Amino acid sequence: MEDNTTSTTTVEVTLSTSSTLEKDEWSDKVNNHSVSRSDLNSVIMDYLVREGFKEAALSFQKETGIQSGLDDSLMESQIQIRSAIETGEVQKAVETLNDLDLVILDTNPDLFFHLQLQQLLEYIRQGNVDEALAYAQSELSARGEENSKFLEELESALALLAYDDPIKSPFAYLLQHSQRLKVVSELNSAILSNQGKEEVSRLSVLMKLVLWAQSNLEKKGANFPKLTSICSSTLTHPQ
Amino acid sequence: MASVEGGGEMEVTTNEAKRLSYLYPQVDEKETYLPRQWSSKDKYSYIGLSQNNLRVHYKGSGKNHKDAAAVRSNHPIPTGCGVYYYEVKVISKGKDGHIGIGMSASGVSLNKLPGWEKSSYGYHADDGCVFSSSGTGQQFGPTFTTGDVVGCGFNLVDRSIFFTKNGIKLGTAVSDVPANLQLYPTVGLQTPGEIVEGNFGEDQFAFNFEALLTEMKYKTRLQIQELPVAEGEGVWQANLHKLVLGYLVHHGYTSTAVALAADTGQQLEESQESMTNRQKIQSLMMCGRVSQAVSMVNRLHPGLFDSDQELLFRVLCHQFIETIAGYDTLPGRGAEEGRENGEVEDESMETESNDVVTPINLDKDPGAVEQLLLFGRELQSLYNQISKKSHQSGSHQLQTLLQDVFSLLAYADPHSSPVAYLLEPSQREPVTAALNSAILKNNKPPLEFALGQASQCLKLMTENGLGAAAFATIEELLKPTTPHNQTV
Repeated sequence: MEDNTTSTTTVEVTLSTSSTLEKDEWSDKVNNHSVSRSDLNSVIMDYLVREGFKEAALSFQKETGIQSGLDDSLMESQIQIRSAIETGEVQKAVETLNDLDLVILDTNPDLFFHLQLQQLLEYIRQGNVDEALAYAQSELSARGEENSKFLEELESALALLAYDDPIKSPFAYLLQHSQRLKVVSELNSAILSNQGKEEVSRLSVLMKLVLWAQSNLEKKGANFPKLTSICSSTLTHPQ
Repeated sequence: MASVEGGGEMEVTTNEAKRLSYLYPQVDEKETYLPRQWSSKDKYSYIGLSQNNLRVHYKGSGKNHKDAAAVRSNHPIPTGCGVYYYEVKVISKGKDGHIGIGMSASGVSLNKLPGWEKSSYGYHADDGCVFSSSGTGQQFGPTFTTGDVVGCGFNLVDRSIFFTKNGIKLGTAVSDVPANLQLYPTVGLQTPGEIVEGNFGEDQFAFNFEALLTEMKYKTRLQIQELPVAEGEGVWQANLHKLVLGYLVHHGYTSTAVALAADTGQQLEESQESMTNRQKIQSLMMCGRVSQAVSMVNRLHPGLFDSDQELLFRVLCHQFIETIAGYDTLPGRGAEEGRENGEVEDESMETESNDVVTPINLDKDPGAVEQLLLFGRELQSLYNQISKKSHQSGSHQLQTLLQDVFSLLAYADPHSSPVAYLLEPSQREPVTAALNSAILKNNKPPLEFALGQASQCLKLMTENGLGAAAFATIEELLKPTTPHNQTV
């Protein structure tokens, strides 16, 4: 696993045995750290419920005996909104959202803008240039003026139109599935915060804890094996 | 508290320890001590101590500032505190009330009030000035005298020092304490009759220090929560989906995994059947039916135990334990028979096992004891085989396990014996996890590996003088936050 990463992981002949030992010791300790299963399961349940994965949450309740505590009608709305965004039907998502809470978009200007921007991106994805431009002019340009951050995002989106094949442009990331997931996550946060619940999942905070601790150590100039990919458990060892 | 009975003092000490570990839960006093009293060694000769080294009085001639005398606490402030705080009550201002309260590093002259020398900081009673490693003070707060309580706090996150008077925070006095400088609570006196008394956290403070700690925790959590991710929020979310799926698959939560994979458009890398089987093995282990789990592993993963005898040893030790606890039975006593070839079906698993496992009764069944001993001998010979092969320190652990397991036999009531912990259901978790990992040939799901990394990094932060680690613990972030009423 370590061989195909960058050169920093290569163990050189000159490396003293003691630091090799230290390296193994660190990995061992990481591997031997244990967290109680029930605590972890409750973090997982929290994640499934808040992200609106109803089927999974109900199955997990059966498999672990942990109460999901899910609010059925809220979750149904979350599911509809998620699937609308993931299939590019932004307008449908906005309607469901308004049914749920009429003022949510008024009180979350960022969210509202990102939904509008997503609509624009869906027009661009469909290759519907006229519609995209008309929508940008009528709905989005005024919003770009009110906020320089919005303007920047709007410009990146419109820049896609400058390329014959937007997928090969530097802004192609805007057309990837992850862009839709980002909007879904923002929507879920707003919905949950409106319901008086934590905005961010405990799982996300726990995973960011790793990044936070590592960046603190790097700023301090400490030498340590860094987790460079959380998803593949890749540790990159210092030279 | 002068106690008549011997027990009284003990109690005080425990309460004290409780309060300190409540204030500083991340400080492990096996590794770093907390300041608890004034040091009887690290003090100037003009300083006298009394009342368990908490009270300080001046006993010099006190003619001028050359007669100043200071004392440090018995231990330095550990980084793991996050924020450290102590208070001093002025019992008497003596002749002139030249009293300095603050912090200093080890080795700094004690013939000076804190603050005058490099690496020392102090708030002075007579003029209300703060001295920060300098002979010249800066106007800071009110003066203080007999009856006043002055507090001094060291924030190890931003390395600042603040003071309080009679429970009110006066603000930050020093904001540039050098990194890695280790500080001790320090008081200095200068004229006859001056008496002060330290409170290192054993008694309630005048200042609401707990509220400050709560605020630090909240701020740190917010900082972590809002940390921008390099790959962007969208990719981050997708990665979280992956981590959750990886966790579900690893631990065999099959139907949840299938549902989530469908919802997030991810592929499952393992067949449902294989996941379900692992789930069954795990739940057998978790309810103590080790022998059934073992025969299922042997059937589905032949050779697994041959290639990992250490694991087999741990699993069999567990079977021994569960037999004594009455959840399992020994080889050849029924549980496995008639099952060897049969598939373990969902429904049959429950009913069958309830019928088959009869708790062993060591008193009334001498045959059972004999069989246990026989089984124990097998364990012993397995251990001998393993220890011959490996020269690692790991075999020492196995030996301890074997001894503990055997000693269960020595007690009439194992549940109230010194090794009763072995019978706790929570003991099933590690061995079950190890067995599952071996089947998967995969140590830990990435989610848990990341938590292990976080734990190591937090420890390293503390070792490197980064106090913020005290306010970002995995244990706390795992728990749901109590809803707070703050609205932005």
